[in-house]
Amino acid sequence: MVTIWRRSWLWLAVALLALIPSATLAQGSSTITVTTDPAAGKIIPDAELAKTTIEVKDAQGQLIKNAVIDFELDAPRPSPWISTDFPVVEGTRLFESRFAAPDGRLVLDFIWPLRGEYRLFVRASPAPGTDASFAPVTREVTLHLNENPAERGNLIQLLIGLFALGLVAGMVMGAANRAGQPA
Amino acid sequence: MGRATGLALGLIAAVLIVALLILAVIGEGERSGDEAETAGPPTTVTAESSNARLEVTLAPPHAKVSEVVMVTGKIVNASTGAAIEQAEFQIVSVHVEDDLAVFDSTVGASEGTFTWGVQFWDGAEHELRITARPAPGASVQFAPVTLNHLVEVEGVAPPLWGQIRATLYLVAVAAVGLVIGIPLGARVRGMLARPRRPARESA
Repeated sequence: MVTIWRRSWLWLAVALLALIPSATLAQGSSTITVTTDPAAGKIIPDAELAKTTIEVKDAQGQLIKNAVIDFELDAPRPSPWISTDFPVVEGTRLFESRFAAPDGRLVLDFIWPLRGEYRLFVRASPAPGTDASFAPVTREVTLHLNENPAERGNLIQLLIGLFALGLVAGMVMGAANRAGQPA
Repeated sequence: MGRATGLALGLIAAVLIVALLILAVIGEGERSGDEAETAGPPTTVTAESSNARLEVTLAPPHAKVSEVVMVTGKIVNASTGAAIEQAEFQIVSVHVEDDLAVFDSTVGASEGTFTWGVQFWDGAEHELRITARPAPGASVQFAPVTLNHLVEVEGVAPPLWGQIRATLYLVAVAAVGLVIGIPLGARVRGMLARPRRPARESA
Protein backbone atom coordinates (compact mmCIF):
# COMPACT_ATOMS: atom_id res chain seq x y z
CA MET A 1 0.00 0.00 0.00
CA VAL A 2 2.85 2.39 0.92
CA THR A 3 4.64 1.49 -2.30
CA ILE A 4 1.57 2.32 -4.39
CA TRP A 5 1.21 5.65 -2.54
CA ARG A 6 4.84 6.54 -3.23
CA ARG A 7 4.51 5.62 -6.89
CA SER A 8 1.44 7.83 -7.20
CA TRP A 9 3.39 10.79 -5.83
CA LEU A 10 6.21 10.00 -8.20
CA TRP A 11 3.91 10.01 -11.22
CA LEU A 12 2.27 13.21 -10.03
CA ALA A 13 5.65 14.90 -9.67
CA VAL A 14 6.65 13.80 -13.18
CA ALA A 15 3.38 15.13 -14.58
CA LEU A 16 3.88 18.50 -12.87
CA LEU A 17 7.44 18.76 -14.13
CA ALA A 18 6.19 18.11 -17.61
CA LEU A 19 3.61 20.91 -17.34
CA ILE A 20 5.22 23.69 -15.32
CA PRO A 21 8.44 24.40 -17.20
CA SER A 22 6.91 24.24 -20.67
CA ALA A 23 7.84 27.87 -21.45
CA THR A 24 11.39 27.35 -20.28
CA LEU A 25 11.72 24.21 -22.36
CA ALA A 26 10.34 26.02 -25.38
CA GLN A 27 13.04 28.64 -25.04
CA GLY A 28 15.72 26.07 -24.50
CA SER A 29 14.67 24.01 -27.46
CA SER A 30 15.02 26.72 -30.09
CA THR A 31 16.60 25.31 -33.17
CA ILE A 32 18.63 26.55 -36.11
CA THR A 33 18.14 25.03 -39.51
CA VAL A 34 20.55 25.54 -42.39
CA THR A 35 19.55 24.70 -45.94
CA THR A 36 21.11 25.39 -49.29
CA ASP A 37 19.59 25.71 -52.73
CA PRO A 38 20.76 23.75 -54.62
CA ALA A 39 21.67 21.02 -52.13
CA ALA A 40 25.29 21.16 -50.97
CA GLY A 41 26.35 18.23 -53.15
CA LYS A 42 25.02 20.00 -56.24
CA ILE A 43 26.51 23.43 -55.64
CA ILE A 44 29.13 24.18 -58.29
CA PRO A 45 32.05 25.92 -56.61
CA ASP A 46 33.65 29.01 -58.17
CA ALA A 47 30.83 29.22 -60.70
CA GLU A 48 27.38 30.29 -59.58
CA LEU A 49 25.48 31.82 -56.70
CA ALA A 50 23.92 29.40 -54.24
CA LYS A 51 21.27 30.32 -51.71
CA THR A 52 21.98 29.55 -48.05
CA THR A 53 19.02 29.93 -45.70
CA ILE A 54 19.37 30.04 -41.94
CA GLU A 55 16.20 29.86 -39.87
CA VAL A 56 15.71 30.19 -36.13
CA LYS A 57 12.64 28.34 -34.86
CA ASP A 58 10.99 27.79 -31.53
CA ALA A 59 9.87 24.46 -30.10
CA GLN A 60 6.68 24.64 -32.16
CA GLY A 61 8.60 25.09 -35.38
CA GLN A 62 7.62 28.75 -35.74
CA LEU A 63 10.19 31.33 -36.85
CA ILE A 64 11.43 33.44 -33.96
CA LYS A 65 11.12 37.12 -34.76
CA ASN A 66 13.76 39.75 -34.01
CA ALA A 67 16.76 37.48 -33.89
CA VAL A 68 20.37 38.37 -34.55
CA ILE A 69 22.38 35.77 -36.41
CA ASP A 70 26.14 35.44 -36.14
CA PHE A 71 27.44 33.53 -39.10
CA GLU A 72 30.93 32.09 -39.62
CA LEU A 73 32.03 30.03 -42.57
CA ASP A 74 35.42 28.33 -42.83
CA ALA A 75 36.80 27.00 -46.11
CA PRO A 76 37.76 23.32 -46.39
CA ARG A 77 41.01 22.36 -44.75
CA PRO A 78 43.96 21.70 -47.04
CA SER A 79 44.59 18.16 -48.19
CA PRO A 80 48.16 16.82 -47.85
CA TRP A 81 47.93 15.30 -51.35
CA ILE A 82 45.97 17.44 -53.77
CA SER A 83 45.24 21.14 -53.49
CA THR A 84 42.34 23.11 -54.96
CA ASP A 85 42.35 26.05 -57.38
CA PHE A 86 42.80 28.41 -54.43
CA PRO A 87 45.26 26.69 -52.09
CA VAL A 88 45.80 29.87 -50.08
CA VAL A 89 42.10 30.00 -49.25
CA GLU A 90 41.98 26.45 -47.88
CA GLY A 91 41.37 26.38 -44.14
CA THR A 92 40.75 30.13 -43.88
CA ARG A 93 37.68 32.04 -42.78
CA LEU A 94 35.36 33.20 -45.56
CA PHE A 95 32.65 34.98 -43.59
CA GLU A 96 32.38 36.34 -40.08
CA SER A 97 29.19 38.33 -39.99
CA ARG A 98 26.37 39.53 -37.81
CA PHE A 99 23.07 40.25 -39.45
CA ALA A 100 19.66 41.01 -38.02
CA ALA A 101 16.90 38.58 -38.89
CA PRO A 102 13.66 40.44 -38.08
CA ASP A 103 11.53 37.51 -39.23
CA GLY A 104 13.92 34.81 -37.93
CA ARG A 105 15.29 33.99 -41.34
CA LEU A 106 18.55 34.95 -43.04
CA VAL A 107 19.03 34.29 -46.73
CA LEU A 108 22.50 34.69 -48.23
CA ASP A 109 23.37 34.26 -51.88
CA PHE A 110 27.06 33.76 -52.60
CA ILE A 111 29.54 31.76 -54.62
CA TRP A 112 31.31 29.00 -52.74
CA PRO A 113 34.95 29.04 -53.85
CA LEU A 114 36.24 25.49 -53.41
CA ARG A 115 35.32 21.84 -53.31
CA GLY A 116 35.58 20.07 -49.95
CA GLU A 117 34.09 20.15 -46.51
CA TYR A 118 33.08 23.54 -45.11
CA ARG A 119 32.46 24.32 -41.47
CA LEU A 120 29.54 26.62 -40.79
CA PHE A 121 28.97 28.03 -37.32
CA VAL A 122 25.71 29.84 -36.55
CA ARG A 123 24.61 31.55 -33.36
CA ALA A 124 21.19 33.11 -32.90
CA SER A 125 20.31 35.47 -30.08
CA PRO A 126 17.59 38.05 -29.37
CA ALA A 127 18.06 41.41 -31.09
CA PRO A 128 18.89 44.12 -28.51
CA GLY A 129 16.11 46.58 -27.87
CA THR A 130 13.36 44.26 -29.05
CA ASP A 131 10.81 42.14 -27.23
CA ALA A 132 12.45 38.91 -28.37
CA SER A 133 13.42 36.65 -25.48
CA PHE A 134 14.91 33.27 -26.10
CA ALA A 135 18.02 31.54 -24.95
CA PRO A 136 20.84 32.00 -27.47
CA VAL A 137 21.28 28.91 -29.56
CA THR A 138 24.25 27.75 -31.60
CA ARG A 139 24.73 25.20 -34.31
CA GLU A 140 27.73 23.89 -36.21
CA VAL A 141 27.18 22.34 -39.60
CA THR A 142 29.53 20.75 -42.10
CA LEU A 143 28.71 20.92 -45.79
CA HIS A 144 30.50 18.97 -48.49
CA LEU A 145 30.80 20.38 -52.00
CA ASN A 146 31.98 18.43 -55.01
CA GLU A 147 34.47 19.68 -57.56
CA ASN A 148 33.33 21.96 -60.36
CA PRO A 149 32.70 19.56 -63.31
CA ALA A 150 34.29 21.99 -65.79
CA GLU A 151 37.47 22.17 -63.73
CA ARG A 152 37.52 18.39 -63.31
CA GLY A 153 37.22 18.11 -67.12
CA ASN A 154 40.10 20.56 -67.61
CA LEU A 155 42.29 18.55 -65.25
CA ILE A 156 41.51 15.29 -67.06
CA GLN A 157 42.34 16.90 -70.41
CA LEU A 158 45.64 18.22 -69.05
CA LEU A 159 46.58 14.80 -67.66
CA ILE A 160 45.68 13.06 -70.91
CA GLY A 161 47.73 15.63 -72.84
CA LEU A 162 50.76 15.19 -70.61
CA PHE A 163 50.49 11.41 -70.75
CA ALA A 164 50.22 11.53 -74.56
CA LEU A 165 53.23 13.85 -74.71
CA GLY A 166 55.26 11.45 -72.59
CA LEU A 167 54.08 8.49 -74.61
CA VAL A 168 55.02 10.05 -77.96
CA ALA A 169 58.36 11.25 -76.61
CA GLY A 170 59.01 7.77 -75.22
CA MET A 171 58.14 6.12 -78.52
CA VAL A 172 60.50 8.46 -80.38
CA MET A 173 63.27 7.71 -77.90
CA GLY A 174 62.57 3.97 -77.99
CA ALA A 175 62.51 3.89 -81.80
CA ALA A 176 65.71 5.92 -82.02
CA ASN A 177 67.41 3.67 -79.48
CA ARG A 178 66.28 0.54 -81.38
CA ALA A 179 67.61 2.01 -84.65
CA GLY A 180 71.05 2.41 -83.08
CA GLN A 181 71.24 -1.25 -82.07
CA PRO A 182 72.46 -4.00 -84.42
CA ALA A 183 69.62 -5.95 -86.06
CA MET B 1 72.36 8.16 -82.27
CA GLY B 2 69.49 6.66 -80.23
CA ARG B 3 71.21 7.11 -76.89
CA ALA B 4 72.22 10.65 -77.81
CA THR B 5 68.62 11.57 -78.67
CA GLY B 6 67.34 10.07 -75.43
CA LEU B 7 69.99 11.88 -73.42
CA ALA B 8 69.15 15.18 -75.10
CA LEU B 9 65.41 14.82 -74.45
CA GLY B 10 66.01 13.84 -70.85
CA LEU B 11 68.30 16.82 -70.38
CA ILE B 12 65.73 19.20 -71.87
CA ALA B 13 63.02 17.79 -69.57
CA ALA B 14 65.27 18.15 -66.52
CA VAL B 15 66.19 21.75 -67.45
CA LEU B 16 62.49 22.63 -67.90
CA ILE B 17 61.58 21.19 -64.50
CA VAL B 18 64.39 23.04 -62.75
CA ALA B 19 63.49 26.28 -64.61
CA LEU B 20 59.85 25.96 -63.49
CA LEU B 21 60.89 25.47 -59.88
CA ILE B 22 63.29 28.43 -60.02
CA LEU B 23 60.54 30.63 -61.48
CA ALA B 24 58.21 29.52 -58.69
CA VAL B 25 60.78 30.41 -56.02
CA ILE B 26 61.55 33.79 -57.64
CA GLY B 27 57.84 34.60 -57.93
CA GLU B 28 57.32 33.72 -54.27
CA GLY B 29 60.13 36.11 -53.28
CA GLU B 30 58.79 38.99 -55.39
CA ARG B 31 55.24 38.63 -54.13
CA SER B 32 56.26 38.49 -50.50
CA GLY B 33 57.67 42.04 -50.87
CA ASP B 34 54.20 43.54 -51.44
CA GLU B 35 52.66 42.49 -48.14
CA ALA B 36 52.50 45.90 -46.48
CA GLU B 37 49.87 47.26 -48.91
CA THR B 38 46.85 45.92 -47.03
CA ALA B 39 47.83 47.55 -43.74
CA GLY B 40 46.37 50.90 -42.75
CA PRO B 41 43.63 52.47 -40.69
CA PRO B 42 40.00 51.68 -41.46
CA THR B 43 38.47 53.76 -44.19
CA THR B 44 34.91 55.09 -44.20
CA VAL B 45 32.97 55.96 -47.32
CA THR B 46 29.57 57.60 -47.36
CA ALA B 47 26.66 58.25 -49.69
CA GLU B 48 23.60 60.39 -49.07
CA SER B 49 20.06 60.69 -50.23
CA SER B 50 17.78 63.59 -49.37
CA ASN B 51 17.25 62.54 -45.76
CA ALA B 52 19.57 59.62 -45.03
CA ARG B 53 23.29 58.95 -45.02
CA LEU B 54 24.89 55.55 -45.52
CA GLU B 55 28.27 55.08 -43.85
CA VAL B 56 30.37 52.04 -44.71
CA THR B 57 33.67 51.29 -43.01
CA LEU B 58 36.27 48.82 -44.26
CA ALA B 59 38.95 47.48 -41.93
CA PRO B 60 41.53 47.12 -43.37
CA PRO B 61 40.82 49.36 -46.38
CA HIS B 62 42.50 46.99 -48.86
CA ALA B 63 41.80 43.29 -48.98
CA LYS B 64 44.13 40.35 -49.22
CA VAL B 65 43.26 36.83 -50.22
CA SER B 66 43.05 34.56 -47.15
CA GLU B 67 42.20 37.45 -44.80
CA VAL B 68 38.83 38.79 -43.69
CA VAL B 69 37.86 42.42 -44.24
CA MET B 70 35.32 43.72 -41.75
CA VAL B 71 32.73 45.77 -43.62
CA THR B 72 30.37 47.58 -41.29
CA GLY B 73 27.47 49.67 -42.45
CA LYS B 74 25.20 52.18 -40.79
CA ILE B 75 22.25 54.16 -42.04
CA VAL B 76 21.65 57.42 -40.21
CA ASN B 77 19.43 60.43 -40.43
CA ALA B 78 21.34 62.91 -42.63
CA SER B 79 20.57 65.90 -40.44
CA THR B 80 20.66 64.48 -36.91
CA GLY B 81 23.12 61.62 -37.34
CA ALA B 82 20.85 59.26 -35.38
CA ALA B 83 20.69 55.65 -36.53
CA ILE B 84 17.60 54.80 -38.57
CA GLU B 85 16.08 51.62 -37.23
CA GLN B 86 14.04 49.12 -39.23
CA ALA B 87 16.17 49.35 -42.34
CA GLU B 88 17.46 46.71 -44.69
CA PHE B 89 20.63 46.51 -46.71
CA GLN B 90 21.27 44.93 -50.06
CA ILE B 91 24.92 43.94 -50.18
CA VAL B 92 26.42 43.04 -53.53
CA SER B 93 30.05 42.21 -54.21
CA VAL B 94 31.02 42.10 -57.87
CA HIS B 95 34.18 40.53 -59.27
CA VAL B 96 35.03 43.40 -61.64
CA GLU B 97 37.19 41.48 -64.13
CA ASP B 98 34.54 38.81 -64.68
CA ASP B 99 31.60 41.19 -64.08
CA LEU B 100 30.22 38.51 -61.78
CA ALA B 101 28.34 38.96 -58.51
CA VAL B 102 29.98 36.72 -55.93
CA PHE B 103 27.73 37.86 -53.07
CA ASP B 104 24.23 39.28 -53.42
CA SER B 105 22.01 39.32 -50.35
CA THR B 106 19.49 41.49 -48.63
CA VAL B 107 19.72 41.53 -44.85
CA GLY B 108 17.65 43.15 -42.16
CA ALA B 109 19.03 45.75 -39.78
CA SER B 110 16.83 46.34 -36.77
CA GLU B 111 19.30 48.89 -35.38
CA GLY B 112 20.27 50.33 -38.75
CA THR B 113 23.64 48.58 -38.81
CA PHE B 114 25.25 45.46 -40.20
CA THR B 115 28.61 43.74 -39.78
CA TRP B 116 29.87 41.74 -42.71
CA GLY B 117 33.25 40.09 -42.36
CA VAL B 118 34.19 38.77 -45.76
CA GLN B 119 37.18 37.29 -47.49
CA PHE B 120 37.71 38.26 -51.12
CA TRP B 121 39.09 34.90 -52.16
CA ASP B 122 40.14 35.86 -55.68
CA GLY B 123 43.00 38.33 -56.02
CA ALA B 124 41.16 40.75 -58.30
CA GLU B 125 39.40 44.06 -57.88
CA HIS B 126 35.89 43.85 -56.43
CA GLU B 127 33.16 46.45 -56.35
CA LEU B 128 30.87 46.73 -53.35
CA ARG B 129 27.38 47.95 -54.15
CA ILE B 130 25.49 48.55 -50.94
CA THR B 131 21.97 49.90 -50.87
CA ALA B 132 20.07 50.89 -47.73
CA ARG B 133 16.30 51.19 -47.80
CA PRO B 134 13.47 51.12 -45.23
CA ALA B 135 12.40 47.66 -44.13
CA PRO B 136 8.86 46.68 -45.17
CA GLY B 137 6.42 48.35 -42.77
CA ALA B 138 9.07 50.57 -41.20
CA SER B 139 7.80 53.62 -39.33
CA VAL B 140 10.62 55.85 -40.59
CA GLN B 141 10.80 56.23 -44.34
CA PHE B 142 13.77 57.52 -46.33
CA ALA B 143 14.91 57.56 -49.93
CA PRO B 144 17.07 54.50 -50.71
CA VAL B 145 20.81 55.22 -50.65
CA THR B 146 23.33 53.33 -52.77
CA LEU B 147 27.07 53.33 -52.27
CA ASN B 148 29.60 51.90 -54.74
CA HIS B 149 33.14 51.29 -53.62
CA LEU B 150 36.07 49.56 -55.31
CA VAL B 151 38.13 47.21 -53.17
CA GLU B 152 41.64 46.31 -54.23
CA VAL B 153 42.44 42.71 -53.43
CA GLU B 154 46.01 41.55 -53.12
CA GLY B 155 46.60 38.08 -54.49
CA VAL B 156 48.73 35.59 -52.61
CA ALA B 157 50.87 33.01 -54.38
CA PRO B 158 50.20 29.36 -53.57
CA PRO B 159 52.62 27.86 -51.04
CA LEU B 160 55.94 26.82 -52.60
CA TRP B 161 55.51 23.22 -51.49
CA GLY B 162 52.13 23.11 -53.25
CA GLN B 163 53.73 24.36 -56.49
CA ILE B 164 56.54 21.80 -56.24
CA ARG B 165 54.04 19.04 -55.50
CA ALA B 166 51.86 19.99 -58.49
CA THR B 167 54.94 20.11 -60.76
CA LEU B 168 56.03 16.67 -59.54
CA TYR B 169 52.55 15.22 -60.18
CA LEU B 170 52.47 16.58 -63.73
CA VAL B 171 56.01 15.40 -64.43
CA ALA B 172 55.09 11.98 -63.04
CA VAL B 173 52.16 11.67 -65.46
CA ALA B 174 54.42 12.53 -68.41
CA ALA B 175 57.05 10.13 -67.02
CA VAL B 176 54.53 7.29 -66.95
CA GLY B 177 53.79 7.96 -70.63
CA LEU B 178 57.53 8.02 -71.29
CA VAL B 179 58.13 4.70 -69.54
CA ILE B 180 55.34 3.05 -71.51
CA GLY B 181 56.38 4.74 -74.77
CA ILE B 182 60.07 3.72 -74.83
CA PRO B 183 59.57 -0.06 -75.15
CA LEU B 184 56.52 0.53 -77.35
CA GLY B 185 58.57 2.69 -79.76
CA ALA B 186 61.37 0.14 -79.86
CA ARG B 187 58.89 -2.62 -80.59
CA VAL B 188 57.19 -0.68 -83.38
CA ARG B 189 60.55 0.21 -84.87
CA GLY B 190 61.60 -3.44 -84.71
CA MET B 191 58.43 -4.57 -86.46
CA LEU B 192 58.90 -1.98 -89.21
CA ALA B 193 62.57 -2.83 -89.66
CA ARG B 194 61.96 -6.60 -89.92
CA PRO B 195 62.64 -7.72 -93.56
CA ARG B 196 59.52 -8.71 -95.42
CA ARG B 197 59.22 -12.25 -96.59
CA PRO B 198 59.77 -12.45 -100.35
CA ALA B 199 56.65 -13.03 -102.35
CA ARG B 200 56.12 -16.63 -103.40
CA GLU B 201 57.33 -17.10 -106.93
CA SER B 202 54.82 -18.47 -109.29
CA ALA B 203 55.71 -21.76 -111.00
